[in-house]
Amino acid sequence: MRKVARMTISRRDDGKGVAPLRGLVPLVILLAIWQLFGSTHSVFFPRPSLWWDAVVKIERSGTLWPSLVATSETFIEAIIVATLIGAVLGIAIGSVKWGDSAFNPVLDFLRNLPAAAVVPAAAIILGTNSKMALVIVVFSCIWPILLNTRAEIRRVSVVLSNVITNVGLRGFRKQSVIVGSVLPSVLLGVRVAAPLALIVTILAEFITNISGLGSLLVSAQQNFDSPEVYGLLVVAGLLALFVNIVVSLVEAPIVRRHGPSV
Amino acid sequence: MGERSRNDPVNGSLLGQGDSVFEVEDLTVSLQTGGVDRTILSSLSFTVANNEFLSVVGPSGTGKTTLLRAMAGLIPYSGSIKFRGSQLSGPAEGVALVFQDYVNSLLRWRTVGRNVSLGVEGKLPRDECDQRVTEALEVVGLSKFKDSYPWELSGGMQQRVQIARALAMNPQVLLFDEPFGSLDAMTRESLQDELLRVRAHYQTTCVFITHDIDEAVYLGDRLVLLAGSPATIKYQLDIPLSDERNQINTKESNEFLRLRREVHGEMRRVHGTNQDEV
Ligand SMILES: Nc1ncnc2c1ncn2[C@@H]1O[C@H](COP(=O)(O)OP(=O)(O)O)[C@@H](O)[C@H]1O
Ligand SMILES: [Mg+2]
Repeated sequence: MRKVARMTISRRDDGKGVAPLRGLVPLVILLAIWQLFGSTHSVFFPRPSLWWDAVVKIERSGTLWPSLVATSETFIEAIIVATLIGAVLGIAIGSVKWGDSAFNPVLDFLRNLPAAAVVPAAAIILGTNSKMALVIVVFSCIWPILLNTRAEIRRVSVVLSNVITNVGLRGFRKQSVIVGSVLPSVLLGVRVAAPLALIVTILAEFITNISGLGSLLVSAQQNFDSPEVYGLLVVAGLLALFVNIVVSLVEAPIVRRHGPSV
Repeated sequence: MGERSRNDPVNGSLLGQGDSVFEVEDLTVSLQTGGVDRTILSSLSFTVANNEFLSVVGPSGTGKTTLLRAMAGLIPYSGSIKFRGSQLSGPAEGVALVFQDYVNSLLRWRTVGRNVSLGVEGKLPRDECDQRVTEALEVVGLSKFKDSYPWELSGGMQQRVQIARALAMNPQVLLFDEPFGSLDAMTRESLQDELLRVRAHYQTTCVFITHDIDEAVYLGDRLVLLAGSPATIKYQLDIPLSDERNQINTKESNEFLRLRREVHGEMRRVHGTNQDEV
């Protein structure tokens, strides 16, 4: 019986990291067809080979890598901050009895605010800089993490707190047991939050023109440089794919230890 | 296991007057439901003798779990609960709980061994801790599964892990909250016998909550029937079955059948009264 359980788990996990890559096949075929039948001079649909040239051109000009780094920095910082704050708040709100009645209206209001609508207010308070972008991104991607953690702690808190008190756990041991029990839910939240965070990072760069992939895209579009727009789109897509793979790699061993969800 | 016996001078002197582990007097528990205080348990009085196995039966929703939580010092109460002679205020050292919900009571990310050590790690020297875990796992027959994860085991095995975790704490009293309630009949019967064996090995006082009358009579030295809203003790009964019990002979003996009929009768009577009230 143990063997069977192990086998099913590992089989499911093995496929996880590879699946996104295999899933790219149709896209590659589409691009190949585009390359074969596309026109060199089309403004709307330039050939993929031209995209490549455009990206190389940006790289030569020395703006590609700094922009990628800037975008990645904001994005990674935001995910880390959102995970920490979201998990802590989720645990806190979920474990007190009056948590829901006290916080639900505020939480519902905040999480339904569109990120774009928050940008002007954040710009007034913090100015247009990468710190502001960070705040916007955290604000918009924290919800899946916070709400998922809250739901899980609410599900287990009565039994868990009885166990913790009865076996006499205190201090660090107590906290680590609580964190351990919500960890898969936090990570599930991060999985949902990560792509969202990348979207909002690029969106914030769009709106405020702080340097990053988003502002490169805007200037390419404003110059009607369509090969550059498509090229940068692919770069953004690859970044997203990379993020997804990294999140899966971090998540897999933890989820495996927790076993199939109940 | 002679040195563990509660009757030796050292442990015996720790007990309060008489031979009672628990002396519950006039216990009343009120809990808040939707902002309203509701009395769940009303004026319960009973004792649990040293080395006794007390079964508590009652329909679901009466307040059995609440009673157990009060006895473990997990919730506030009024009246008096004396544990080994002194008034209980806060979580009691030496009282180990076994919950019905084994899935959420065990830590999924810890191996069986590390689950069993949960109550002793950091409190005892490392080698003593390991020794306790090894012994507890051996007693419940799970030595081979020390490095498995709980979710790799069957329900019955997971419940045995929880029992081992309680045993490793070397408690004076084990409190069971319908531990076998969600297991299939065959697993339940084998765990019942295993529990009797474990208890003989560790010489631990047990309070066992169940809504299964057969189980309560089969396991207990004495039985308390809890019913009503708020719950009161409706009935108490000594169970003079021999210590050597087994599923077939004991459950077919006239004495067992007589006792179970009596409890069923009381339960029906109490339940009937209840319905009249409502
Ligand atoms: N934490 C709590 N707060 C408020 N009411 C509770 C709480 N726990 C249980 N109750 C109520 O107390 C009554 C008895 O519950 P419980 O002790 O779980 O019964 P049993 O274990 O006998 O099924 C139920 O009506 C339940 O709704
Ligand atoms: Mg109950």
